[in-house]
Amino acid sequence: MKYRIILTALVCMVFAVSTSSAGTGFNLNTKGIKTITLNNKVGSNQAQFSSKAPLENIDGGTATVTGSFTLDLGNLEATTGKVLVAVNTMQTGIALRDRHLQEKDWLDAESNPNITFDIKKLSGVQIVSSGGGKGVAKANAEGVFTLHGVGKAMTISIEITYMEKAPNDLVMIKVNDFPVSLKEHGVTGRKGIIGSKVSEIITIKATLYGSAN
Amino acid sequence: MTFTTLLNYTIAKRLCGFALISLSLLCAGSPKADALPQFTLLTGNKCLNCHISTQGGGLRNELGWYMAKDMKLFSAHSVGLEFIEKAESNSLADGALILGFDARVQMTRSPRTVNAETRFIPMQTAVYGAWIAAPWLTLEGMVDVGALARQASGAGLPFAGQQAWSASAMIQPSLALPQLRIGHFQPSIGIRYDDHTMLVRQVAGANTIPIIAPNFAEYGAELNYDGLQWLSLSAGAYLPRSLAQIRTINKYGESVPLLGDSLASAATASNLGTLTASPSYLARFAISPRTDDHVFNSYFGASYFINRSFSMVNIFAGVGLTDRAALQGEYVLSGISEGRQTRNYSVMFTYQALSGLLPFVRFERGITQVSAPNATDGIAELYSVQATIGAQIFPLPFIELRPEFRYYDTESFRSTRWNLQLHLYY
Repeated sequence: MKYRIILTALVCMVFAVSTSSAGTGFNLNTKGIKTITLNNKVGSNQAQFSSKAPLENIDGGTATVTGSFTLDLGNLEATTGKVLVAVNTMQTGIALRDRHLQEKDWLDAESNPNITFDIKKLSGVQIVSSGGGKGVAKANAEGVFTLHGVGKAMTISIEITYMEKAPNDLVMIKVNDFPVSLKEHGVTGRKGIIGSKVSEIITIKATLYGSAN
Repeated sequence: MTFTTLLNYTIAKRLCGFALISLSLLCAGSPKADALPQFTLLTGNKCLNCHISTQGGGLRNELGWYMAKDMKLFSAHSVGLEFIEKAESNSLADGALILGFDARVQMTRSPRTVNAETRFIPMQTAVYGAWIAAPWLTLEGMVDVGALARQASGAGLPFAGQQAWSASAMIQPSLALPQLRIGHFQPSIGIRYDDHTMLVRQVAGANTIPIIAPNFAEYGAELNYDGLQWLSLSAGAYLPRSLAQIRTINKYGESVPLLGDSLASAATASNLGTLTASPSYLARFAISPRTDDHVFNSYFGASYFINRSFSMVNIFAGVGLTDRAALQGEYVLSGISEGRQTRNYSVMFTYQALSGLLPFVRFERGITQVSAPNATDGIAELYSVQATIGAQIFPLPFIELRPEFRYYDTESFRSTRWNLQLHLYY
């Protein structure tokens, strides 16, 4: 009797562990955990931002986006990684404004050279399609978004496309629009400019391309 | 003391000395206006984005100030003038008080006589201030110190309608709503330039005189709407105290007050009743399309300024490539119904070679029609052509040098002249 109870408990534990670790995955030939490095040879990595203020609309961006992440093809929820944008590569269409953007009052590129997003996990994963060497999934990336040296927990809607290719598999991630508050990240700007010429909430989006090592 | 330090000290001393001499001369001074409309085409910004006033010119706001601070070929630090770059803002009291100035002096020779001597002409010593009393209320003012000193000495100002000061209250509950401006200020006529010798504000001929003088101002009220980024609208009514002081030529070839004798007398006597009964009116629109990628900027619009039989129509347009080049033009018709009429235009091309170096070329032509009883058709046409090649050079923050070479052609003389303007601003 005693052994049956222990055996039952063990079976339950094993079941519980296997249930908790089982995530949402693609049905592809490729299996396992992949390390994805962003790579401009695969596609042009782009991060774009938009400010809509009463007196001025500013659309800017950069093609210098770096980073890497691990992708468990059988458990997309376990994805972790880091994406970086170099502040001194950001452009707004006007050279002088680009310089101002990097100044202390704004993003302070000298003290905080990168804007980062540390991906802790994915949630709400939905497989859109999977098969024929290609998997597409929608998810929410949960992590910490750091701007101006101030990190804030954030959940960002993304779409992942995984393609089985030789010699390395390819990944494209579309990062949907997400809002960032300048105030919450300690960006004060010049007096009177935020709210009139620069919006307090900046909308950011990105398209990322990488290859599996 | 190292050689470099000594050199920097010497350069600094000389520059400060030059600046002080220039400022001293300016305090004896006379006029000139403000604003750089080509910058709106080079940056895609409206005048309002960089200036306190919606029509541009005068006091720079925070963005205008630190844009001006970055317009330079060399850092002030590199020539031992670190103090110029140490300032962080042109505002005090947590942004409530904004200060600024424009001081200009020009070295030139009159184009009218061959042996004219080179003169050092003080042009402007304007000091500005604005107090943001509440989010919806800004009080602003300008004093032209040189003009004020001249008035105090009893010399009077050189041009009819020119004023030594302006001040207004700007009431605007929200940027999305129109702004009400009340006070003593220049109506939003056409495009406001920083060069009062441009023909579009002159009566063309051998002896050009301003139609609208530099620092022209009237008591009045104006509604300005900039709630949409691509649209600017203005409408105003003003007491014609300055306008009535301007003279013109009637159909008999006589010099008469622009608005008639009664208003001229009322203006001199500050007779509010008579002036109030004959206000000037202004309507203006400007549309500023630009592409979403910020590459292409443009504007076009018109203004109509009228009082009694005097009217002034300004039609303006410009196209620009951000950080590259700007092409702008204005066509102006003005005059009284039975008297002198003017038809002037100006076309200017600016190339932004570097952040602090903007060479430009400008072509202007003006025709003035006046009564000429001896002429076959009773009308004589006086003309002026000005072709200018020059550059706006910003060697250091808040310092501009503007060398110009001008070609003049009028009905009575043709000549060329070099000019050099020093402009200190903040």
